[in-house]
Amino acid sequence: MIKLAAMFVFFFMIAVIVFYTFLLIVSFIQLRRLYELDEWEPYEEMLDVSYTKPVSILVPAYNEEAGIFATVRSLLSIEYPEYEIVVINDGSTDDTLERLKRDFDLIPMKRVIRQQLKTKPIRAVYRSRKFSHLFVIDKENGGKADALNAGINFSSYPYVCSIDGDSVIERRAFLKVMKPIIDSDEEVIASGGSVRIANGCDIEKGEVIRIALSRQPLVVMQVIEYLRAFLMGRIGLSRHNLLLIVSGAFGVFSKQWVIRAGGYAHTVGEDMELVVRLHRLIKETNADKKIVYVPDPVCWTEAPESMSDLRKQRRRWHRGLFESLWLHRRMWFNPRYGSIGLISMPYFLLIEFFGPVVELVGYILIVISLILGDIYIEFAILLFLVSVLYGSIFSMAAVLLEEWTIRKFSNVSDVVRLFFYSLTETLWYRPLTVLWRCEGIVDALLKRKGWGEMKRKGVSK
Amino acid sequence: MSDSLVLFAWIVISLSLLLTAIFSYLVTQKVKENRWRKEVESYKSLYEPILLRYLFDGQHVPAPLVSAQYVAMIELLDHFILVLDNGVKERATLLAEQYLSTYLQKQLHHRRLGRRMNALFYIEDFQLTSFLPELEKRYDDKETTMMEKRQLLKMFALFRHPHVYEYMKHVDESFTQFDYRLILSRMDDHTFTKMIDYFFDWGEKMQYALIDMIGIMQKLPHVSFLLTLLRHEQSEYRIRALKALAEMAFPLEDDQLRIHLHSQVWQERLMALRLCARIRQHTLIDIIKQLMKDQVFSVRSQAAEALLRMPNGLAMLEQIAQTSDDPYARDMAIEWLERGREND
Repeated sequence: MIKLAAMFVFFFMIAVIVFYTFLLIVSFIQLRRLYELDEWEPYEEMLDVSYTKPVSILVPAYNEEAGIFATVRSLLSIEYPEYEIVVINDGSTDDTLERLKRDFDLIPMKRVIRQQLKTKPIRAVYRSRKFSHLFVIDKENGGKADALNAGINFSSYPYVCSIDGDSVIERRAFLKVMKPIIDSDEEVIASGGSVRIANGCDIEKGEVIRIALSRQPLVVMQVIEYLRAFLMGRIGLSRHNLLLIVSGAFGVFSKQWVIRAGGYAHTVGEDMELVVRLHRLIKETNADKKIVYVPDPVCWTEAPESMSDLRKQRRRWHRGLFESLWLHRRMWFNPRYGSIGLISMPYFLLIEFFGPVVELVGYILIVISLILGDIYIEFAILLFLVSVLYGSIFSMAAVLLEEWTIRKFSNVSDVVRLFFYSLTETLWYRPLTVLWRCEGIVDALLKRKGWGEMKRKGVSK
Repeated sequence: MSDSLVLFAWIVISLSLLLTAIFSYLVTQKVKENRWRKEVESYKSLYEPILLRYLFDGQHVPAPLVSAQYVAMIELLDHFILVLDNGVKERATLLAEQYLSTYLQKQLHHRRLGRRMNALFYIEDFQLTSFLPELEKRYDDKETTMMEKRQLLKMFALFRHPHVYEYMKHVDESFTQFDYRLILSRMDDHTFTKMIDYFFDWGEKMQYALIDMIGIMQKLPHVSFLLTLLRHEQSEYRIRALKALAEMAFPLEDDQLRIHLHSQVWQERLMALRLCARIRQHTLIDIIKQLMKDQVFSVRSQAAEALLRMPNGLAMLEQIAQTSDDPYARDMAIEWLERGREND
C-alpha cells in the first residue's frame, strides 16, 4: 500500500518535473534572446500620442488608507502619453476616501456612467483639481470585482488596467506592457506584467529608488517563489498562448473584450477567472486574439511578512484557483478549447491545484516510512530526493534564470542570498505552503468564504 | 529499488553541482559587470564636459580606446542628441562617424540579438547614413530576424534609401499597421506620394496606415485624395478619411458632412461629428442636436462636445439639459456642461 502510494507520488512528481523543465527551457531561450537590449530605445516612439492607445488605470481600494497615496502618486508619474486614473473606493470603512479627498483636492463632478456591467450603486464621483486625469468613484461595498466593473463603466479609454491598492508601478511599465498590444494591431487583447515583491526595496513617493532584497527569510522565499512563477511558468505558457493568469496586481485588458466577457466575476481569484473567460470567448468566437505576458515591466507589491498573513493569503489564492477551475470545468480536457482545454486547464488542475495534495501525501509518506524503518527508509530517501528536485532545484534554476537574463538585483550579495535560500526551500518553506494550500482546498470544499485581509503597512516612505 | 535510489541521488547531486557551477559563473560575471559598469559611469562623467565642449565649440575629443570608453561615449552622445536641439546633431553625427563606426559595425554582427538591435538604434539616432550598404546586406541576410528587419526598414525610410518603395512591396505578412505607420512617419514626401499614388495596390493594413498618417502628419497635399475616399463605398475608408480630416481640422462642405452625419454606420457619424467639433461648423447645429439623441453612447458624447465648442455652446447644452425629451441627451448635456464650465 505504502509502496503503491510512494510510486504514485514519485511518478507524479517526475511528470511535473518534465513539464517544468520544458517551461524552463522555453523561458530561457525567450529571455536570453533579448538579453542586453536597450531599456529605452524600443519604447521611445510609443511616447507619441498619435500612435499609442490611451489607458484607464483602475485602482480598487477597500480600506487602503495606508497605501493608497503612494499607489496613486506612483501612477501620476508614469511615462505614458495618455491615461486616466480611476480610484474606486469600494465602501471602505476607514479613511481611504477622506485621505484621497485631502491629498488630491477632490471635488464632486457629474458624469454619465454607461452601465455596461452591473454593479452596486455609486454614491458619488469626484475629480481632482490638481490632476485633471485623476478620478475617484465612491460606491457601496461590493467586493473587488464589483469595484473593477464600476471602474470599467466609468472609464473613457479603450484599454483598462487594474492595479491593487498597494502596489507601486515602475514608470515605464505601461509602455512596456502596452507594446505587444500596439505592435500587434490589437491582436493581443490582454497583456500582463511581472509582479515583484517590494519589501526590502527603497520606495519613495511611489517610485522605486533602489531594488534590494528583504532581510526576512519568509519574504526572501516569496521573492524566489515569484521568480519561479513569473519567469519560468508564465513566459513558457505565454509563448504558446496558454496563459491563464494575468496578474491581478498588474495587467492591461481590452475594455471591449472584458465587457463582452461579462466583466470581472465575484470569485476570489477574479483576475485568473477573467483570463479564463477571455480565452473561452476567444475560442468560442473563433477570434484570432492572444493573451501575453511581458517578463520585464515590474509592479512592486507588498508581501506578507508574518506566517499568519502568508497562510491566509495562500489559502485564499488556492480557494480562488479552485473556484475559477470549477466554474469553467466544461473546459477541462475539452478538445473544443484547443490547447487551453487540453494543456492549460489540465496543468492548472493537476499540477497547480492537486499538486500540493500529492506533495503533502509525499511528506506524510516520508514520515511514515522513517517510522516504519527497514526497507521503507529507501522510499523515504527517494521521495525526499525527488521533492528536492521538484522544489529546491527548480527554485535555484529560477534564481539563476533571473540573474542570467533580467538582472533586477544589482547587489552581488542579494543574488548569493537568493541562491542559498532557494536551496533550503524543500526543507521548510515548501512544506508550509503545501499545507496552507491544502487548507485552501478544504476551505473550498466546505465553501468557506471571507477575505482574510492582511494588515498592510504601506510599501512607500 | 536501491538502483533507482542511487541513480536519483546522482541526478540530484549532479544537478546541484551544475547549478552551483552556473551560480559561481554568474556571480563572478556580475562582479565583473558591476565593476565594468562603474568604469563606464566614471568615463561618462569624464567625457561629459569634453563632449559638450565639442558639440558647442567643436573642440577636440580624444578617441575612445577600450570598450567602456566606447559605451560611455555612445550613451552620452545618444542622450545629448535627445535633449539638445538640432544645431549640435551634425557634430554628433560627425563624431560618431569618426570614432564609433568600427565599434558599432562589430556590434552589428554580434551573436546576440539584443546587442545587434542596440547597434541599429544607435546608428539611427546618430544618423549614420554611411552604414546604408551594410544595413542593406543585413536586411537581405537570411539569418536576420523580423525584429531587425522592422528596424532596418524604418532606417531605410529615414536615410532616404532610393529603393524604400521596392522594399516595402516585399515586406513580410507579419508587419502590422503600427509598423507601417512608423516607417511612413520617417518617409520623405516624394516616396510617400508614390505610396499614395498606388494606394489601391497595397494591402489593407498599409492602406489604413497611409490614411492615418496623412492626418497625423498633417500632409495637406493629400487632402484631395482623402476627399475621393469619402465617396468610397467601403465604410472603413470613409471613417478613416474623416478621422484624418478631423485631425487636420480641414473644413468640409455642409452637404458633404451632412451625408456622413446621417450615415448608417455609427463610427462614420462619430468621426463626422469629431470633424464638426474641430472646425466649429455651426451651420450644422440642428443635425448635431439631433445626434445628441443618437442610440450610440459615444456618438452622443461626441455630439455634446461638438456643441460645446460652438460659439454659444454652453447655452445650447443648457437648453438641452433642461428641455430635451430624451433622458440620455439630457444626461450627456449635463456632463458636458460641467466639463465646459471647468475649462472656462
